[in-house]
Amino acid sequence: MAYFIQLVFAGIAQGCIYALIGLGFSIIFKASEVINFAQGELLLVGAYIVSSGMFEWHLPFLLALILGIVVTVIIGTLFERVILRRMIGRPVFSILMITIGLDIVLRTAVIMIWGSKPIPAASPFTITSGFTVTDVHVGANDLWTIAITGILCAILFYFFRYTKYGLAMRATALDQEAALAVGINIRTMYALAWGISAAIATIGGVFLAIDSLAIDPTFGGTALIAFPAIILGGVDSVSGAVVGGIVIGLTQVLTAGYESRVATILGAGIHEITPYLIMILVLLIRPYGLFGTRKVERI
Amino acid sequence: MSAPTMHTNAHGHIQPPRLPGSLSRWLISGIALFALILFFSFASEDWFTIVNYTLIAAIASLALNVLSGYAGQVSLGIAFFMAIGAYTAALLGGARPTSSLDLQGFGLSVLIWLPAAGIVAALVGALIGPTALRLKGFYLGIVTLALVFIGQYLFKNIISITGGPQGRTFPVPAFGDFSLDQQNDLFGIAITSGQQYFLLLLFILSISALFVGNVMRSRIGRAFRAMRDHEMGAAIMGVNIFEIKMRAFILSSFLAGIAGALFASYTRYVTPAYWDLTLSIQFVAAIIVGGIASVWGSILGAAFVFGLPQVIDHFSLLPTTGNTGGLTSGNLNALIYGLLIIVFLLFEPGGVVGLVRRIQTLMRRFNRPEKERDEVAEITDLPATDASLPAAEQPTPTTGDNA
Amino acid sequence: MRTRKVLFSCVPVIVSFLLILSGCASNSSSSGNNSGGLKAGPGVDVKNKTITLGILSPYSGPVADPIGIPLANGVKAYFNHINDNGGINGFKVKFLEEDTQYNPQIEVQKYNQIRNQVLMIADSLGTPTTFSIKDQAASDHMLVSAATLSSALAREKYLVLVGTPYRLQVENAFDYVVNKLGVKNPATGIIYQNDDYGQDGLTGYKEAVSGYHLNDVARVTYAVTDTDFTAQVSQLKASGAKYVFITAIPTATAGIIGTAYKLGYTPQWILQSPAFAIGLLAVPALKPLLSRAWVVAQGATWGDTSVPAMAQMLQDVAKYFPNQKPDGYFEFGYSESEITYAILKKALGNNDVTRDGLFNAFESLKSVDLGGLYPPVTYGSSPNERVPTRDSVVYQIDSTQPAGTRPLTPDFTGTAAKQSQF
Repeated sequence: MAYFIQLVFAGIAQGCIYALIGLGFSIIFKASEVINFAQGELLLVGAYIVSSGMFEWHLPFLLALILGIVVTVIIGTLFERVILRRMIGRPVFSILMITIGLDIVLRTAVIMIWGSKPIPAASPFTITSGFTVTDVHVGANDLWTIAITGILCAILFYFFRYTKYGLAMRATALDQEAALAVGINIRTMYALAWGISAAIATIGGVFLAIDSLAIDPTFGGTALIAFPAIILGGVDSVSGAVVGGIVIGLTQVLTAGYESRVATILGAGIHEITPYLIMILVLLIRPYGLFGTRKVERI
Repeated sequence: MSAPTMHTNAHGHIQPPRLPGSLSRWLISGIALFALILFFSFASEDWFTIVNYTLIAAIASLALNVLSGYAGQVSLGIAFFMAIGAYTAALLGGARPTSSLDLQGFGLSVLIWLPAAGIVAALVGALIGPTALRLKGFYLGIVTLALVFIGQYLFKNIISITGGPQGRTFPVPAFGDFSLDQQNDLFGIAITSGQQYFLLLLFILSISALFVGNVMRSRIGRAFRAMRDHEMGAAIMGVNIFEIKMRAFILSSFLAGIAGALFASYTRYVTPAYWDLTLSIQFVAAIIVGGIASVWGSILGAAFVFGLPQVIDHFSLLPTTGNTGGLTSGNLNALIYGLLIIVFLLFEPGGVVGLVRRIQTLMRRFNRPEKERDEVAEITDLPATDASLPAAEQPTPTTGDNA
Repeated sequence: MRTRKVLFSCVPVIVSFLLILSGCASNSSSSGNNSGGLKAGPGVDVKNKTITLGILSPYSGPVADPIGIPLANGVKAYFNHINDNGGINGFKVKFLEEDTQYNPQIEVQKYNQIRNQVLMIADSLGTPTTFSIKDQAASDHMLVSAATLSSALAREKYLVLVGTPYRLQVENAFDYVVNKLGVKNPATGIIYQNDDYGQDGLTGYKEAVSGYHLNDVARVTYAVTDTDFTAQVSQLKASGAKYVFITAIPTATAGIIGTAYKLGYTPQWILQSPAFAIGLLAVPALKPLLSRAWVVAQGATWGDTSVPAMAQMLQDVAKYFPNQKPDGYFEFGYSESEITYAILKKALGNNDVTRDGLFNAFESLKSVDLGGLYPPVTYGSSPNERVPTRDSVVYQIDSTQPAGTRPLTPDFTGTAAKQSQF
């Protein structure tokens, strides 16, 4: 039983990280209908800057974190402004590919600057910080991950519902032309969306890094798992991203925890694909995800 | 433009229909053939390796273009279909097992395993096709991405066919004693392995390109494009969406399976880790850089993405050694690759083919201004003297797709 | 109109000419010739007295920094030293290095690019990559020194294997536990990466289980992209394994050991040689945890000058690769070159440096003394004989040592490893 609870706890924590990454995707998608394939690499750059900040420039953790967020926000908004701006109106495929191009450029840049050996991950905790309750270890990192995800979601909820900019962003997502008509500055909305996403990506990346203790340039590949998460929840739904992330995280960890018992039938490594299997299952029943809005096609 | 018809141009002259046998076209074909023969006879083996891999990649790019470029179905799953083809080839063509430890194989000839690779992949494509009915755009893309991962899981575990994570060897095309991986004598002339593969691959690529080109010029091709541009509109006009989507998946998967089998055969030994998302993305990049919905675009795109980095390396402009950080040739290649994608998509979404067409139009304008303007006007079916337009401004042909 | 068409048609002709020229150029630079009784093959320039060897290694990508580059440096360092001291019978050795990015397709391309210009491949890194060229190398009669510890390669005639295969590493590790430490029937487990490298470790583990009557309680796998190891570690913990073998890459090792410690699980960790990287000791949280772990590998401890060849190697590092930190892979590459040197020397002694001459020299090599850096290797013609060494050393991770490890045992070959069939 303790085994199961330990896995559930780890799954929720992991799921929160996926939720954060998924949120990043979701916000950009809602605002500008763009799928940002480079989200994983923004995560990578953020984590690397925070690590460098802490170990090379000897900054305290929080300062390094802020530095990481600032750098990724700059990269994100710059990319949006300089490149994506010109892609408005182009087919989805092209925009997707251009973010893949950014993905490659960012990862190569990280390798060129830092080399590809693993570097230690910045962490404000020690490994064992946390407490143990009836054989289940509740790590400080996992607790903070869940807490910060919750807080961020609350902030975003408040932001989107009650603040001027949040409402403007939602308006832009619903109907760009109408938003323009009422005087919303679409450009600012896009930049805002990318900035928020980049910041969330860095935070998610840092939590992920703390868990891994050491990071290398392939670290960004984890972000791919966020895709099933947001599809599951519905690509344009913020709460969907969170629910999707947690479902995927739980699925992955629980499957990994029990898979060796069924290894003779299912072979090794089924936990790598259960997120995708669940996603396909959900899509068969609800093609727009659990909370996604059904697209109404107008002729 | 289907059948040649008589045009009356602005000046009232009747223009003869354009026949395929014009002199300049024969001249170009002749020179191209001559260049090909020169290459074949004198190029060294390592150039053949680069070119052969590019030819195989071109077949797969064609496959992806059929599905995503012409039919508009977002797909990141081409690596999966290639792998299906490859493992079918291995199963049917691989050496017969001599002990219980050996991998499965039936030892059949290439004339069986190569087409079978395509057919099995096409069957799998037919199974996947119906999902495209429910899902659109991004959602479909992610499901195809899931295919790649699920495929890797399956390939790592079906060890008797794939060799598991350690991989396996793949059969070489052989006609009796005449095996393509060694030097052979053909009518008294010695031809190397690279040359033999070159001929085989060129042959297969040509047939595939001609076939795809033909299909895209036919009613089915127009249905593909109609569906891509506006699915509901196409349905209203009478296009059977289900049938067309299935056709797209089946044709695309068939070609991808053949390309996968050829690739694995040429490399001799492949592990399941090879058929990953990065491979799919390379092909997506290839058709974008080369030109979406274009046969030549597929080939040129494959040359850019698969051939160009090797060519750059061949001329060793940068040190390979040193630490990985900094400017090494590997890093520079990756950087160029990423930047090329971004630059092409920003400035020339039509890819290289679009670029060529743009240059053609430019050159046409500068070469023969008046005569060209009439021709241009003909192509767009607008009268050359439209009273509402000033004489100098004639619309240029849009860079739509060509077959 | 005509000008445009002529222009466009000139392009393929020009391109072909360029290709042909470069093809001719690369073809003519290599052919060997006979002179004065010395039979020479491709890559041998009798007039200028140089022999060109190939290196096919990742110089970019994730495998390059930890393994590919240090190994290649080691390969080169040894011959730099030889060249500066008169060469082999007056012949200097040059290298053609190609970046394979650890990709079999690129390795095939690069092999084809250099095969007519080199006499032998002095370093081909990686199992899938070496596999993809082995048939071509065999038909070219080209010896390939394989820098990979996969046991499947022992069946290939033209591959020169260096070092104890991973499979035997695992077996030796458990021989240490059972025979040297006297633990009867220990509860053991393995966590391995879900790819070809991990498979090799798993095979060795299975052989060790039957060979030493281990109580096999857990076999757990992880994906290269996994960052959270709670599930895997929880399985290990629940199984109660006291000795856990890790066939992983350094970043995963960090996650596994760290997570285990977090969950209060501290078995005896035994790391496969690539699972450890000295960079891990720079992670502050990890240092105390790692110092209780073992690594099974081979090779003399860096800096141990009681070993005859160590002093020379340290000199060569300082002279030719001053930025190279202490690295087991450098030592591996260096020793690999010692074997290549022995082959070349014997071939030159036989006055036959054609590809076949090298092959004959190799098969008749019997034993090569590596100056203590690695135990002497022996070669022969059967698969079992082609496995050069079957021994290992079990190291304790020790952050006070230059290479991060301190040997717990001398070089030894366990019983299972001795009997293992290839």
